[in-house]
Amino acid sequence: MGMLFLAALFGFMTWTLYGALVVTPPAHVLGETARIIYFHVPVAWVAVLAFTMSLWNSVVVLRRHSYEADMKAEVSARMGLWFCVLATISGAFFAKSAWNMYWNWDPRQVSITVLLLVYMAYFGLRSATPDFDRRIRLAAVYAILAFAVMPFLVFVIPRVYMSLHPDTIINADGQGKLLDDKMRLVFWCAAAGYSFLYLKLYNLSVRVERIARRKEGWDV
Amino acid sequence: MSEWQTVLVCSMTTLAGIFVYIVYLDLKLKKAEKK
Repeated sequence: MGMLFLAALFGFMTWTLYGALVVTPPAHVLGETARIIYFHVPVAWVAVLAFTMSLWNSVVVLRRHSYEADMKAEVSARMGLWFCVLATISGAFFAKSAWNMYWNWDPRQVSITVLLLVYMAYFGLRSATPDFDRRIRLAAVYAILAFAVMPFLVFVIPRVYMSLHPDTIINADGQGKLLDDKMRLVFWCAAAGYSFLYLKLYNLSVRVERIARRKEGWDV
Repeated sequence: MSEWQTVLVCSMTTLAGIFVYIVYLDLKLKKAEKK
């Protein structure tokens, strides 16, 4: 079952990649550089998904004092952080191509950096608390607070301040009307493909973490 | 080979590499979980 899922996902993502690079036309204003949306937007979306999973598991930690949920919350936050780094780096490449600078302190770039720092502090907090029980409670509370900040950093602040980030291509009228039909299909397939890839990576990471924690003496 | 074909081949090779690594990790984990 696992291998069948992986084979299907590989086929799906290969098709999506082909669609992103060959089938879809260049965007109206941004030209070929707009093809980044088939990677950059899905990985940013997966980061939000991972932080949501971390939130959910942190709530479970506070309700049931579960080591298992704490492990899942940590794994998910770590993956969210990595996907956030991927979104930041891919965004910087786009910025170089579109604005001629990797970094120009655009509100989007600043807010995602703040988000990275917020979640880096989560791991700082964990490693600074040696006591298991205290660590999982503090980390859970912090993850909930971090998640409460996340929508403002990802969705609100970049829309409140003047930004060069090309939202209009995807979000015009909130309907994505400027996306060609083929582009929209490949875009949603990429979003689904990366989400399933995240789920598989999450599953693997949880299993690795479980083995590591058992060796350290955790009851998971 | 055109630039686009090179990009396509490189990105598909990277994707294949990621999946091969996932399969390898999956199999290795199954062995470790049995112990």
